[in-house]
Amino acid sequence: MAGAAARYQDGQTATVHDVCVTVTGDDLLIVGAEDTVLARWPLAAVRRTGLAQDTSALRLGLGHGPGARLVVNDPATIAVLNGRCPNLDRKPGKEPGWWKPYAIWGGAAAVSVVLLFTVIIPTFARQAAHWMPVEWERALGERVEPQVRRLMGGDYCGHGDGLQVLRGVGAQLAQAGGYDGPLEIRVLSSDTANAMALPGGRILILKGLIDKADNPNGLIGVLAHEIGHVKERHALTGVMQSSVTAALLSLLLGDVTGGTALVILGETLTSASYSRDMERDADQFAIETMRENGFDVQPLATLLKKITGGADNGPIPQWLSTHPATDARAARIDAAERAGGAALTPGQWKAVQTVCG
Amino acid sequence: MLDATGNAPEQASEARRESFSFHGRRWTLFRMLVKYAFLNLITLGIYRFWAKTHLRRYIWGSLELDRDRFEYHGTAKELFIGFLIAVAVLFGLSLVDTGIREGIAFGGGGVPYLLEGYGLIYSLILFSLFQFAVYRIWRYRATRTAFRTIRFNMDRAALGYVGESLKWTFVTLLSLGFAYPYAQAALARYKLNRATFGKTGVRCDLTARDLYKRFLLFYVPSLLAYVAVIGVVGLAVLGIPEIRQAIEPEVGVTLPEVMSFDVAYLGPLMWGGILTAFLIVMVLYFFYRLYSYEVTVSRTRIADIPLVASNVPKGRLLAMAALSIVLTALLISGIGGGFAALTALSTSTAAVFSVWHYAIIGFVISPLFIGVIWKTVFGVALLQHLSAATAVIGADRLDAIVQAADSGPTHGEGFADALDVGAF
Repeated sequence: MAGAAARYQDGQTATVHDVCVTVTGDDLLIVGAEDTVLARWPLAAVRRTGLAQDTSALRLGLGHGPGARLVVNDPATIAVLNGRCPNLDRKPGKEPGWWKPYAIWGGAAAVSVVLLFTVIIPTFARQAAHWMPVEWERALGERVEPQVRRLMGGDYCGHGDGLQVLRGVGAQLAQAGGYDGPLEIRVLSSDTANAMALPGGRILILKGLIDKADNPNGLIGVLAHEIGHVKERHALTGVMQSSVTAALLSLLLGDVTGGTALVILGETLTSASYSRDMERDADQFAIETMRENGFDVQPLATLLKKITGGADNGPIPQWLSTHPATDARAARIDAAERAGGAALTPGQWKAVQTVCG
Repeated sequence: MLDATGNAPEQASEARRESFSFHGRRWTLFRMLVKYAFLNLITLGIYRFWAKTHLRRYIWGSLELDRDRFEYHGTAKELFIGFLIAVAVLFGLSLVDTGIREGIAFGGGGVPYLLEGYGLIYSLILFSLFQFAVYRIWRYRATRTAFRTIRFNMDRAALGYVGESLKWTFVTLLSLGFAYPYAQAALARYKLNRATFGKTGVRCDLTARDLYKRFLLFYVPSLLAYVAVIGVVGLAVLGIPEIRQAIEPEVGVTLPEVMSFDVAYLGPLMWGGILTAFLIVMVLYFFYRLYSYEVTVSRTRIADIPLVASNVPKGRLLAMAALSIVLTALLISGIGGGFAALTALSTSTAAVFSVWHYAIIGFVISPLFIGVIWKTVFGVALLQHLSAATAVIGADRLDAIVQAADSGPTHGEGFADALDVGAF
């Protein structure tokens, strides 16, 4: 090929030299003013450095990365060079072992993330919850309680002996479960069928739950379950887990589009999973302490089914739900030894049922 | 200066004016963006470093000046490493923060406002990190950009930038926003005066005076709109009885009646008012930003080579932005309508997925496409028009620029990525 006109930038200055390029043997010869050879590029090493979509010019370099550039605008020359350069669009060669840093760091990162979510965060949260001084936890509980009251509605109930009965049985269960920390049981006159354990040993039982229970052992089973939460300081653990999980997830997912949604989703999923574990532990605590005290635990299963209306977790998929599926819980409770009698005498049960007047 | 014959030197009339031009095609970009959106989703975002690198190579490589194109030399590996470093630091920081917060919440009962005070300090720390990331993002991209084989660079002055940002943010807040052009000019000068092209320095002489008149044109109406909105919202919340009586004489003063009145009349008025005010502010700000670009570039030069930017078609760009928003709204309605249809189907036919699954999928997928539409429709228009409006005077003098040795940081943008700074 006779010399063709092109433009050359040598990588040292921004000057654009008008050059003549020829193909000699296996090389591309770049000749500048006064026939000085500015560069000699092996054809096999010539790469396209411009965009493939740029049809106005062929921009070439030696190898990849910064350096000298040759720009060809003449279509005929472009065609020739396209033919003569065999590796124009070859991707940069990967040096042997290129994958090692990715595999090592990527693998380490993946393992760390998994470890963090499944082991480290729950353990950290649990340990921190246990180390937390009881007074601090109680302070948190005191701050949370008014909000819960406002949410659930209703006032505290204390009519007759009902509260004393519950507290007495509660103390029995706590002792059976090896818990000797603060425990304060209160009843709220809300019609929702629920009970909750707040940080600091405070347990709120809602009247709706008492109304729904046909058998006193059902209610006492729920009480035992909540005491389980109190003993393991689940409320506090949950709070800590959520905040750390959310922080880590938003870091990892960065600004990927849909990232915020993924973070919320991820946080909900992991929280739900941690929560299901805690619920299972509390169920186990209930089963064991009820048995220790010689109470029949089966009515708890009945009450759970009744509360959820038998519709399992409703429209919420199992993996999103904060509680294990009711059927599964009931099955575990049923599988526990069936021996046992009533937790309350009829008189005590009557007192509890009328605690809200 | 005149020469011996009393004529002005030839140089002035010879100074060649060369405009930039952007050759990126919408269709190419759209295909890339869609592909990367899906890959990002599947890899939970890890792919984004490769996606950004490919996108930048395309965009930089589509920008042309005087028959030569820009080049992007960054690699995904650099971004990924930067990210890992930032995550490690930020995670440590958030652990410390969580610890301090829990400690204060439970144990620091004695000291008043301790939590609020700490919150303020933490916000300042985050703000500083953000500004740090802003400077670093500019520096990384500058050092990975080359024109005619010569690389750009910026001084290692990120910490100074943090200081300047803090100072000017404080001043702007104190002045109720009226010092903003001073802040804007100072920070632009800070970055540009520390930039180099090869061994040649970049110089920016932007002052607040260049910006102030246009700033007032944007800011004063925006303030008025803001005040008006506050007024309307205040009225709605306080519910002045006289106004109520005037509009609907039968309405009583019990809480349910007041609330239903508010919802019926003031609700739409309030939301309509807020939306209108918001749109006005956005449009004014849009024009101001484009004007700022023109002025900033026109006060910038590379040694003795001035840059100039003028006649950016602001109206046309506003139309493109509006078009993007309309298309996005249509897309969201389409997806919403799709869900409604699928939900109706799923209750009558025993569908595999519950409505929750659809909601989650939609929630995750639509942001993908919102970004794609915006970049393809508006982003390309912006690049095209800003390029065409920007020019270099005396392009031949670029020949004198010499390469510099410093090749810049080895990894990039980790904090910017982790803190969500920047789009491309």
